[in-house]
Amino acid sequence: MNNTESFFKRLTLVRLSASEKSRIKAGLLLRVNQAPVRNPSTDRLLSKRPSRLAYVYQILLTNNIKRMPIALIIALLFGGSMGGVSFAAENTVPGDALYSVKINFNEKAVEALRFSDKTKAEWDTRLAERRLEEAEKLASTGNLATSTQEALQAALEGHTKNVREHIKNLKEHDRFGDAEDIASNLEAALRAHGRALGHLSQEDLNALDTLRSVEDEFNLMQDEHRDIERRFVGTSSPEVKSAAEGKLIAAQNKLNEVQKFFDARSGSLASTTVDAVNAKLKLVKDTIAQGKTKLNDGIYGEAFLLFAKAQRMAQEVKHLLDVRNELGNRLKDGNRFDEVFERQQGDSFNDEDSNMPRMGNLRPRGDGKGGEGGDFSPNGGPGMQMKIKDDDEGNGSGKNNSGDGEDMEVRVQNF
Amino acid sequence: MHQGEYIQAFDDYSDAIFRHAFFKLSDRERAVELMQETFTKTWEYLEQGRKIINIRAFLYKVLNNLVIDEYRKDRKTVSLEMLVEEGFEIPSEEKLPLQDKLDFELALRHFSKLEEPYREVLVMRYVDNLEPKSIAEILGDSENAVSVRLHRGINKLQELMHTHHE
Repeated sequence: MNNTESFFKRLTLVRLSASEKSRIKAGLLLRVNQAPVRNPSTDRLLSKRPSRLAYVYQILLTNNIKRMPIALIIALLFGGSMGGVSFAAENTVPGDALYSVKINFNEKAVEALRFSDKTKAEWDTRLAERRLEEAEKLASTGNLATSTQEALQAALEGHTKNVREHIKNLKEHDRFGDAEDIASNLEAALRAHGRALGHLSQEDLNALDTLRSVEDEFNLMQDEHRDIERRFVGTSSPEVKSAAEGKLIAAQNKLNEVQKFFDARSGSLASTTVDAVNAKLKLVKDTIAQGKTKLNDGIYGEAFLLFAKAQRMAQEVKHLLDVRNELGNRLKDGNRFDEVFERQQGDSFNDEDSNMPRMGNLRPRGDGKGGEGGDFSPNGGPGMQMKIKDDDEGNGSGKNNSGDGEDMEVRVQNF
Repeated sequence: MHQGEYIQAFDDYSDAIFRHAFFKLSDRERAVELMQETFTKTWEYLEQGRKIINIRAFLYKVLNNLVIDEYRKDRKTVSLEMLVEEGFEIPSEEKLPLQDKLDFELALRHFSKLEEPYREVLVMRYVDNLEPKSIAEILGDSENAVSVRLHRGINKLQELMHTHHE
């Protein structure tokens, strides 16, 4: 047995190198020190702050500092102060003092830990969302300055361009499942944020420019996505079968996650909103059921696409709830916000299901599609701009709410 | 579990989790990524205020799910044997005497000839010192099945070492 003992001892050499280990540890420390961006348990973490110092000391004492790379030392040394700064920076928007910490420190630290096309694309998707969230926060109080809007738009376009690059690489390596996943995620995010921006353009006209850029990016991504989807149509190989089965689980998990997230918050939502979300979630379930039928019939490619669609729709609901959550405290008038939110929940939630035209048509209301209040009825679009010029209302920072310009309402189609 | 304990778990188990991923995937770079993802996912779980009783077993389970996803996605898996034939590189920063390196390479060569299910339990038991009971829990097998596999694995390994050695 001595023989095997030394044998297994040799196998311990299959291990992480010291630098890999410290690099990843540094990333985890940053992550752990940062309050989650969109998690309700933020307060819980904050209230625990004193204990962090204790554990930083513990790590410093139990590790050999000389062997640590700089990044880890920074994370450890600044854990007490920089960790706090880095946390504080997480919620900043352009113009805030700590915004550059968010962009240049927090985000770069996470970025450094992504290696593959897939994980990089996921991170770029998240960054695109973060820029949109910032634009939304600013727009919600009518503070989205033109220069800021332009900077955020440029950043957004940069990130989506990166995502397309990564998708291209994945396709070249025949990783269509991953490519689909990424395209789907970005599409859901763009659609949800497009909706939010449509609304916020009531508070800040500059949001319309962001919305147009989102529209363009959405269209590009949808083209990309359809190209990927074509690979699945009519296929029924065993690989696609197992991909479909995996996707089924992913879609179901996503649905459960969103359901839980929603259940935890539904108390604070208006009943019309609750109904709208429930209707959407039912649609997700129906889509999953359709996919299962296809799966049983052996039409695996279609099953995969249906599950992917279900996952995407669920993800979109999650994004919308997130935006609502995020903006809730920022808006001056909560009631007014809820009113806006209710209006948002119309049949727009169904648009993935009905074969509406692609998004991107800012249509005047009354050309056939708009229901009562419309699902997205921002006072935006060309009509609105003209109205504002006529009335000389400036950039409409939160005061153009009286009457909501019924006659001028436009609909953002298919968001 | 607070941040300190979580980081402690990283210190204690990151190598084992990486090793497990490596022997499953025969892809060093990917194994590093999956190890990292395992810890990130575990943190996300904790962040939601949920409790983990046995962090070590939990990490293995998260990893196993990630590995299953990996199998689903990518069919062109490389076997450990192929990898070893191509020459598995120990990261260059490890300063090892040449003899140790050669011993390691030989050990890996023998090991790569074993079937995967044996490799898995042997590494868990003898490299990472998990009790058969814990292995059974992580793999969702009975303790008895794990013990049998361990026993057979050892026998096979000794056979391999005899026939290929010296």
